[in-house]
Amino acid sequence: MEISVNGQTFTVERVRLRRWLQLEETKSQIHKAAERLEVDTISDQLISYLSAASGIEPQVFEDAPWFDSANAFSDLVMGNEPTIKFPLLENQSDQRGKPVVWDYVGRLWFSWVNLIATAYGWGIEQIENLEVDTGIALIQEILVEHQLKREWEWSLTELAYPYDPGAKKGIFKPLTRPRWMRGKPERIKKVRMPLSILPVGIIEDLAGVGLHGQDIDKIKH
Amino acid sequence: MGRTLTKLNIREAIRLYVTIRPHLPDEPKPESFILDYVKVVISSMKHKDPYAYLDTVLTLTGLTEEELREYSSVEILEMFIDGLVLNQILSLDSFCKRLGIR
Repeated sequence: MEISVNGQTFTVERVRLRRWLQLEETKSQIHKAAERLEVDTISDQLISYLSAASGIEPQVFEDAPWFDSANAFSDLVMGNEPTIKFPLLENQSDQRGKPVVWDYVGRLWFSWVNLIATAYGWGIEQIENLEVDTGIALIQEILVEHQLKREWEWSLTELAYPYDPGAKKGIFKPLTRPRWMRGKPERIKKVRMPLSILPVGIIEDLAGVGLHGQDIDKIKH
Repeated sequence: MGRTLTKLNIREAIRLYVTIRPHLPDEPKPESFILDYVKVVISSMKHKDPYAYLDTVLTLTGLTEEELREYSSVEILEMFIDGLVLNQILSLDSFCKRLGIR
C-alpha cells in the first residue's frame, strides 16, 4: 500500500504476525488513553503505531500536518486488517474479563508462540514472520483442537452427568465452549396463532398501563 | 500586519481538540455553513470558558500572548476562524471521536 505524508509518498508492506499483534496492543492503548483523556499518551502511541506499521521515522509524523498522520493511520489500520473474518476475533467478549495475575504487557504474543511452537515445532523467527491471516487461522485451529479434546475428556468423567431428580438419572451436561465457538443465537421465529385458540370476548389492551393501585382496580371492575 | 497560521501536527491537533471539544456542536449538520459552526463554538466559549478562545488562538497561530496583543480583536477572530478551517476542524472532530475521545 502507499501512504502520503507531508508531500512524500511511501510504499508500505503489510506487517507480519508479531508486528501485527504489537500494533493491536498499541491500538488498544490509544483507545484506553482516549477514554482517560491522556493527551500525551494518545499522541505518543499514535506516532508509535504509525512508525511501527510503516517503518518510517517517527519524526516524519511529528513534522507532518495532523490530517496526513490521521489519513496514514486509517490507511495502515485498514491495510493491516486480516482479510478473513475469523470467529476467534469476532466473538471474544466473555474472555476479556479481569486480567489474570500472571498477565504482562505483550503476553498475548508469547502465548501464541507457545501454542504454535508446541503444535508444529517451529522457532520464534518462523512464527513471527507468518502472514497475519495464516497465523490467526493456525491459532484458531489449535484452539479448536484443544477444546474438542477437552470436551471428549470431559464426556468421559462422572462430572459430565449430574443427577437429575426429575429423570432419576444422570443427564449429560456438555462442557461450555468459548463464545467464539458457540456462534450467534438463533432468532426466535414468529409463529402465527390459529384463530381457534385466541381468547374470546372483549380484549382490554393493557399496554402502557401501570399495574399498581388504582389502575389494578380499574381493570378489575 | 501579516498573520501566521500553522497546520498543526498530530500532538498539537489533539491538544487543540481537547480544549475545543466541550464547545463543539454535538451533531453538525452537513449542509451548515462553517461560519454558523464557528459561531456556536465562540458563543459556547464566551459563556463557559473564555480562556479556551485564547488558548485556541495561541495554538492555531503559534504566537505568544504578548505577540497576540499587537492584533486587533477582529484580526484575532479572523485568525480563529481561518485556523479552524485550515486545520479541518470537522475532520479533526470525527477523527478524535473515532479514537474514542469524548
